[in-house]
Amino acid sequence: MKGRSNMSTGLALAPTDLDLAERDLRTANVQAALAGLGADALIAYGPAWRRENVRYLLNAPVRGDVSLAVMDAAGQITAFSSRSSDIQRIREAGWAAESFQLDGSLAALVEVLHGMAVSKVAIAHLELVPAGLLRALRTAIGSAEIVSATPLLDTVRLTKSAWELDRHRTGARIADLGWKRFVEVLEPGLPEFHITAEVEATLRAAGADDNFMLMASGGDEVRGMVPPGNRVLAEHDLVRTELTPQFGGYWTQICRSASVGTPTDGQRKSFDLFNEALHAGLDVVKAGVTCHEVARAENEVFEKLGFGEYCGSQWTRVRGHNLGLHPDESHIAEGNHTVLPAGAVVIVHPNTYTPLAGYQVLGEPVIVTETGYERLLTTDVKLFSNAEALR
Amino acid sequence: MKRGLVLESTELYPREEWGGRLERVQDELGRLGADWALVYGDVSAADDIAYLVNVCVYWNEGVLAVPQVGEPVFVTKLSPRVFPWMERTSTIGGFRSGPDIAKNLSAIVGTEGRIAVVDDVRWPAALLDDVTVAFDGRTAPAPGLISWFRATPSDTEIVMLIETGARLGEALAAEPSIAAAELAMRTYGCTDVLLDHHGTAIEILVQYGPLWLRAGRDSGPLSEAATAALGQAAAMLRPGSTANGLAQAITTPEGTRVDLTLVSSLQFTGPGELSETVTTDAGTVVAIVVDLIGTDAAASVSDTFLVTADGARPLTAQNGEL
Repeated sequence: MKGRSNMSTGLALAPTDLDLAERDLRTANVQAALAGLGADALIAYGPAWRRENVRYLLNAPVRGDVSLAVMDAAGQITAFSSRSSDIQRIREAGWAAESFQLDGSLAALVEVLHGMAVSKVAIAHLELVPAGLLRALRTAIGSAEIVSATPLLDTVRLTKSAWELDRHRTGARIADLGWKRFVEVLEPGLPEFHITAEVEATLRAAGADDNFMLMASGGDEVRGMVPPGNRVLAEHDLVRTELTPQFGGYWTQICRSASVGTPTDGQRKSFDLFNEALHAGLDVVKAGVTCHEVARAENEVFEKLGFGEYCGSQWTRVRGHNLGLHPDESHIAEGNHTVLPAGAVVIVHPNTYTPLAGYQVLGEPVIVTETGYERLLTTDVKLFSNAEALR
Repeated sequence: MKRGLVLESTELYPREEWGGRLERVQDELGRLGADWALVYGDVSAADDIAYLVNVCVYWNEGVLAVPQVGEPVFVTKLSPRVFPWMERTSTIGGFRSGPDIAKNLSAIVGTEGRIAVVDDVRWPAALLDDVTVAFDGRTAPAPGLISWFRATPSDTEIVMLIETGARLGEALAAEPSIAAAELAMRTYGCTDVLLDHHGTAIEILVQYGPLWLRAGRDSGPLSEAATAALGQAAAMLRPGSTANGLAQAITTPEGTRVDLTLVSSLQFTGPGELSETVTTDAGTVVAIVVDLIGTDAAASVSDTFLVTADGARPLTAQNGEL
């Protein structure tokens, strides 16, 4: 075989000065947070579906189903992965001092931890560490106390640096392309899963590492979004998606809905409702505002227009969420009093079901600033139609 | 997350096959003296759950509670809004949602009976602790209870493996971009497509229904030699083969060394990646991974095989490649 120069690599390049400055910034932030906990070491555990903290410390796109990054009191990082190809990736990224492949014995991990002689260890995603692995960790650290570092790392990751925002901006360009392709391929008779296939290929060609995507097609019977089936599109279907390409580790989301053919009156009314709620939420976004306040602004629009009951958990999950190395960071939800800092990346999306047109999605990812927000996408905020796309 | 086609249970297998799977596990529970089995899965490793009831854990995590008699119930943190979809695609109608999985399991299992915790070392320790406390000494570990059954594919599954493997082999033989491979395998109907690209090597894992296949190709200067080595190993693969035995029997160019790994299909994803036990019994599915390392270059190639009584059938290799 030959010629794969057009493949998206997902590989980290050799570290630049900017990369290393970012590493040093993170190390300082994590060390300060650890000091607040009284911990003298951090272990970031990454199962295959929650690698955000490992990525934060390694800046390497690990693929192993079990990965860990261990930071000692001096801020030096040692990496572990169950997949041999990860070791090269971690070395190329250049953030870890050493890296080891894990085998079933976990001997490399046990040896490194044993040599650290710690008294209190904070573990990020402690809640997900498998029983067998936790047993090995306890053996390795002896009588040291173990505490969870999950909330601590969530807080540290909330404010994005300029280095991180650059990756979100590129991710937003990819999300724009993905949505464009989504609308282009819509036509009666097309199976749902073909839409995902086409979008996925577009995202990959544009350089995406991965994608988080839910969708649904149909009429006002649709109550939520899931992976695609083989249902075929029909005239006047509303096709909805949360599309979330990952670039350089960072997930950037777009939420839109499109009509197959000319939108119905119900679809137009539904869009008007969601558009007003979206902008009400965006209008209050700025540094210092809480996630609760943004959610309240969105929900007040639904309440004002007689759809308040559809803001509850029976019909919807959240009114948006922060984005970053995990696609579903701190939630925009009533009751979440997390303060949005300048530099947070948040998607405001009043997605829910109403009887107007079934489940509808509309969401904008933005960078929180001192005075408001910076929009990331270039895609129009409107009710899309494949008929319009074909003109 | 899983974002490819999720087929309904009856689109995958006849009802009798689903019924037979549950019956065999329930018979085994009876032999173990257990009244319930608890099977944990998250989005990255929920193949036991998919095998039994075709619930697709497309995101997040959950536990399938399997009674010795009766229908299983799936307990998850996912919203109940997705239960109609899960009911339509799976073989079960019982679902329960909430942040406290152990509490929901208690409500289902009740205060009587013994509980087999399947592959307990792979459960999140925090959840395992909650479950152990909730059932107050009534739990016992049940390693491999489900995976033992799914290690040997049924006749229907073998047909699916052959057809999906052929499509994967074609996608890789077409000198694709990653984008083209994604398009080909997702349009074919794969539920999951996982890509691992390093150096000049690309490896793709695809999932069709609950079944996984794995194949890797390389475009570097050692790719032909690595492919030839893989071909030699494949020709020798048979029941009882070991990685060491195959590695010692193949020849590679002077100045290179070979790392040969056998990977059971149960190890393709999830914490099984750390397992050191590989079975090459007749009827099982394994991948051969050949890493050929030279002075200035390396190559990695792999293919998936069905071990037969007297050899192995290639599932992902194209004709003439081996």
